[in-house]
Amino acid sequence: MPRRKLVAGLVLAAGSIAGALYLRQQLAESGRERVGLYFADGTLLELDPDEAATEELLALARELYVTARPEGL
Amino acid sequence: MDAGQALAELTEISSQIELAVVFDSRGELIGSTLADRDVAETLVSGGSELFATASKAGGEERGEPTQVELALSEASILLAREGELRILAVTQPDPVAGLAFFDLGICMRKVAGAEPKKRRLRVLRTEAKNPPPTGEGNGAAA
Repeated sequence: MPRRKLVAGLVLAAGSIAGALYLRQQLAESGRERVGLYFADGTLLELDPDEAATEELLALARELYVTARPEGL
Repeated sequence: MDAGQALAELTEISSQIELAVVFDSRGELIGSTLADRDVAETLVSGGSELFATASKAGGEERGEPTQVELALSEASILLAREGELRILAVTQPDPVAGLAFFDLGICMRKVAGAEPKKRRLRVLRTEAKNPPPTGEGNGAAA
């Protein structure tokens, strides 16, 4: 009986750690600024965050967001 | 359906979309959910610039992207094109992009379908006023 409790405890602990790591990864992913381009042939190109074009596109997007913000955003 | 109505339905159906503007490939505003036309025109000009920059970033061999997703920490900006029409939408942060793009596509199709319908109605009304000559009249004259 104590051995079963120990196994159950270990499984629970491992599950909690895995869940916490998954949530952390999801949160980091959700806050990340990124640019995705979808093409007519169905391909998706996610631009490299370090590329100059990515920064240029994100800067323009931020500018537009600031322009639109007074409109109830 | 006119652009205003299509956009109103878009924001009603999709809770992720906060605002949207529809414009054409020449950068002319067709409709928007915004009260301020100047702001809408600024968004249109920015949207055209975003499409041009995204095309360059994607590489010439791929051509212009059909959809662009710009994820910011506070919101996302989505751009889509279909034929001559373009749409720019500001959404809540981390939208379900596939779903939002689907709704934007439907909105553009509604806007694109507006003009031909109106033209067809106009033709029908003209025909009702001046019915086309029947074959019998021509035969009698000959």
